Amino acid sequence: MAHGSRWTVGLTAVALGGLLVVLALPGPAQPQEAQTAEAPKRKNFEIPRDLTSELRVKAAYNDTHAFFRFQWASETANTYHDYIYFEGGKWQTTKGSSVGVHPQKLYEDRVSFLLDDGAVRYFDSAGGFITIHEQMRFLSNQAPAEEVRKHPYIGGTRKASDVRKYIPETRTDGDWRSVRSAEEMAALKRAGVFLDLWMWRSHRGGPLGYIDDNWVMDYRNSDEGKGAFTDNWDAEKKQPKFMFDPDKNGGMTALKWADVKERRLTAQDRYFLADDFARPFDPAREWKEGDAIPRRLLRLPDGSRGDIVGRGTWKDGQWTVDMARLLDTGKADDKALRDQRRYTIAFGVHKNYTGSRWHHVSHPYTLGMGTEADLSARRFTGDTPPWDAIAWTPVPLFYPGQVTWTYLTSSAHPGSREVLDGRACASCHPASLMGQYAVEHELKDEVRGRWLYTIASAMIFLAGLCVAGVIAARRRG
Amino acid sequence: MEPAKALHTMTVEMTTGMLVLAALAVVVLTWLALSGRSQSRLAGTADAVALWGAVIGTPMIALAILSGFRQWPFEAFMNSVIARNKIFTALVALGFWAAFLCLRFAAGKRLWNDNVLAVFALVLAAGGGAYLVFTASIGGTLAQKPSGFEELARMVVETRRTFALSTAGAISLIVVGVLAPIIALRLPRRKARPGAAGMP
Repeated sequence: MAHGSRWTVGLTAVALGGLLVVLALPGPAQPQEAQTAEAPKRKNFEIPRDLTSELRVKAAYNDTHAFFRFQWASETANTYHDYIYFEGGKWQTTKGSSVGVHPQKLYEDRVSFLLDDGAVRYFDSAGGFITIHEQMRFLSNQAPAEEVRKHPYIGGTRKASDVRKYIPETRTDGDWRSVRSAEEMAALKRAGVFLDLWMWRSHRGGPLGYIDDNWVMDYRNSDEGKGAFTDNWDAEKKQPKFMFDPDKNGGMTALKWADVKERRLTAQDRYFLADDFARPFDPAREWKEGDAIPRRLLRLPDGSRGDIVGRGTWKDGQWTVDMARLLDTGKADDKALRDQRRYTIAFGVHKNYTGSRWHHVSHPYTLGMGTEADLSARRFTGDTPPWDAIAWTPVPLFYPGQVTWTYLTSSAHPGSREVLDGRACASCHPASLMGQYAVEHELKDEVRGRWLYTIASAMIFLAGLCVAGVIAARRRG
Repeated sequence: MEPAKALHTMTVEMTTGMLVLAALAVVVLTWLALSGRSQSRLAGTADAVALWGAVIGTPMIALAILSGFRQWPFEAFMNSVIARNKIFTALVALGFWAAFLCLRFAAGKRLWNDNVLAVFALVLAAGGGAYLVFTASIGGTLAQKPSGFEELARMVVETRRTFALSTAGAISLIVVGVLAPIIALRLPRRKARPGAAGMP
């Protein structure tokens, strides 16, 4: 090869090599990588393994009831949730809500949705994001419990120690502290300015065939009435309140902690405790190391809280959950569903032993009762929906990270103007990318740092090419 | 149209027009150089087009970047994946074209008499041109008018994820940048090409 050609190849290779390096940008922190690097430094930080998933939905209604059917893939049926176990001569409880994946993998699966009839502003465009605000529970900047307890309404009236979902209408300036007056709040409730929240829980209520009925306004509220579960831990006596009734459980008073830990119980086994086969705890009984009792006592709900019934079954790697409720319960904490009307609905799924914000959510969808919509509920006659004749509506889900309504409407969000104009989040951000955006938002400081040093290294590379060009010109000129 | 948006649109259009023209001229020039026709009238015209296109277009990239920053609050730019990527690709395009101008000014018109330098100039102009098109394409997404080119580019690089090199990637790039002048220093001095004498 001639001298000149060799050098041509050499210089070209250098320039192209650099180009290729720049083009082969691997992108910022992958979830697992970020997890390792950032988790020890941050509060309430865990990036989930999967950032997207899919939920499939069907809806139907007859003259009296609305019906929903959900299906989603789940490697395992996670029906375990909170246990009390006897170890070291004393009763202990498993960890409750935790950051990310539950350390003992004892956390139930769930499917839920928020429902609105057009009363709550921005819900039809931004969905559940309108309920997420700075300093909420399990965000990295979670408000200190002490501060929340001192708040006259959240800590005082509500006796809460953390901030949970609320809609912007309930605050004067969006901040969780700026709660509106009791009169204003009552007026909002009367006007129906709240979101209905239906939640199937695989452990807490699910086994009895009940769906938790909640509503979101000033806080995440339970509907009026008795819930399908209650706490079975007597914090004062440090022991369970109820145990398995041996007369109704073949002599069994407790589960084996090893069976729970190793997840050996099936849907046919007693992995939950319900009041019709429980009896008050007997501390005088001779309890053995490794005995375990569910921390939640299931019971039949009543009042508005018990309006929704349903069942979940797990088979071949997927959950199928049915829900049904009166179209109009006549209760002030429910949204009535009416023939030919359109509503907004946004879904959420908790799986892989996660709770709180470590779920996958959807953009908002329109729900049409016999009308055209993203999810059209089919009218039928009879008692059972013709599920086989109704097509699934696929709903892409994504990890929402720590994106708050405060951020979305602030000047820090490039699309804040569009958000405040009521433009749908989905029009700029497809669900397939939302999880990735959420992670980049959650890791913004780290991503910015890496982006800056990528720019710096590219500039050094280009400066090198510039100097090389000048030198080459001098030598060859 | 808002004045800031209008200014950005103008600078972007000017930049794209000038530099695409310059890049095409460099392609023609390199072809002429490699086929031994660097003295032709066409080569003289193409050199003027490449030079003036780059001289006007390169500072316009900087102006386009500056006018771009007027579109949103700075914090919003720093929070947008696509905006971050656009800033990155615009700076890289600027760097390539700046390197091209350095080479052209250092070598003068004789640049096209030397195959080594001509190919090097082509690589720089091609890099600058490619990143410019990439930048404009990403800009289309920001302006809510996504382009087909970006979809093609996404097959190679995911533009909806912040461009960021791993530490090893960044070090490699710096090493290549440092090696380039060293390689240039080891270039053999050129023997005068017959017929090249007298070029300004």
